[in-house]
Amino acid sequence: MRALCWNGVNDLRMETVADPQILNPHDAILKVTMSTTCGSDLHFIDGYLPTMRPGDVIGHEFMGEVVEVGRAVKKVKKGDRVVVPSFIVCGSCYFCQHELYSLCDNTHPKPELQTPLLGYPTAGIYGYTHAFGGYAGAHAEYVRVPFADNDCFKVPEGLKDEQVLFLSDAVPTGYMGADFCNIKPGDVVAVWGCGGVGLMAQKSAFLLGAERVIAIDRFPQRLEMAREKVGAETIDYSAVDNVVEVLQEMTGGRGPDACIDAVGMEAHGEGIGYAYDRVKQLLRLETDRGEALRQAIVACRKGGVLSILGKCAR
Amino acid sequence: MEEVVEVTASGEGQTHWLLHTPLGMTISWDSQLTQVEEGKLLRWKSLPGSWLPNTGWVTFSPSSTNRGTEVKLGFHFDLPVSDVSNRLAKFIRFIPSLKLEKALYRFKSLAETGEIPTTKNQPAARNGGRDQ
Repeated sequence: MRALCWNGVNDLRMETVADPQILNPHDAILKVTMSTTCGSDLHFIDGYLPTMRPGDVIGHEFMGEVVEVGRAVKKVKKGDRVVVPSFIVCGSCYFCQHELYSLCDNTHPKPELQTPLLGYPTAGIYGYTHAFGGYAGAHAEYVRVPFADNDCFKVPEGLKDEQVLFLSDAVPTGYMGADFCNIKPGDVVAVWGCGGVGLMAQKSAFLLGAERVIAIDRFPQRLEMAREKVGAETIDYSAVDNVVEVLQEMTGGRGPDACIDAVGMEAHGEGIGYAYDRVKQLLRLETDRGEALRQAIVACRKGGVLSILGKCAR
Repeated sequence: MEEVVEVTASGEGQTHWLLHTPLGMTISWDSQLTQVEEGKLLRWKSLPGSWLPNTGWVTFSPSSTNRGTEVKLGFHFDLPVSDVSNRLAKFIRFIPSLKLEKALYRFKSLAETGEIPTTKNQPAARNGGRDQ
């Protein structure tokens, strides 16, 4: 089959690879119908997240049609149209039983690559470095889905692929960011980033009862989506002197009740803080550029909630 | 640990062990189960005549409430006194923590889910299209 593979920093290529096979009893094979890219892929494409190997198939946000199931798969059937989350979860361990699915104990084939840095292994992720399991990803014609009964969510009739694809990663990530905020009536929630996850966090904040949502980005089309699709107020950080001051003005000097960082380690910014981050990152003294996070920390009202979604190395 | 130690069942309570050392030397021996406490303990011992006499044990004990079972794996090697065995002792001390930990981790997955997570033979643009 054809698949999009990582071959080095900023070097992705379409390659011919073998078709996936059932390797374990709970596996299923999906014919991928849609697979989308994620901002977090930038981290290994740009070379800030190590343990990729040349030839790795990437992609961790996808859906498809089940074409084959392993002998221990009970619920999922051939022909099912399903959305699959990026983390692979067993459903049986302590962490899965406590709904801490991304921390699953039984889906990481190479924990020794991860424990030295993180202390304990996480669940495996599709197409997302060998430190996170080294599983082949979904930017391919077919993908193997381990523990299919837990990881395949059947799509109800009448919904188009485009309507459900983002339930794989962007929606639940954004929703979780808003869920962390313990939103109460009257709350103002500020969200850094208007990419897929940021927009979903903004929408989720409204769904969970926020009275106002303020979205921060620099791209006009993204800010427009935040206004038009979500109903958020927006700040173009490249057009203002100081985002924190603007947020304070917009909230009567109190600051937002909750701040969500949906940008993370490759934040862009203006001024000395961003320049400092960029230099350190180029010299590999530091893998993170945390400008958005710094703003969120300072802007958040006293006793407010800071919710960090953007991936940071530390 | 599969790349360092291979164990195969070879009869009633007996196992055949292969230990691959870094210099390419392979040491083998047979062990006999010597103690079984149902649900708690297994202990085995190399048969007389083994060049590398050893015993091993695995224990199972309840963890704190709702945290499952704690499994411990141990080995004791009785090395003959010589230069070679001193070097071997260093190697044996070197394998353990990481390799044993991974062996236990894989066992945990097998016990909890019925399978061991793997990516071997999955698609990749190397080795002719598959991961080895």
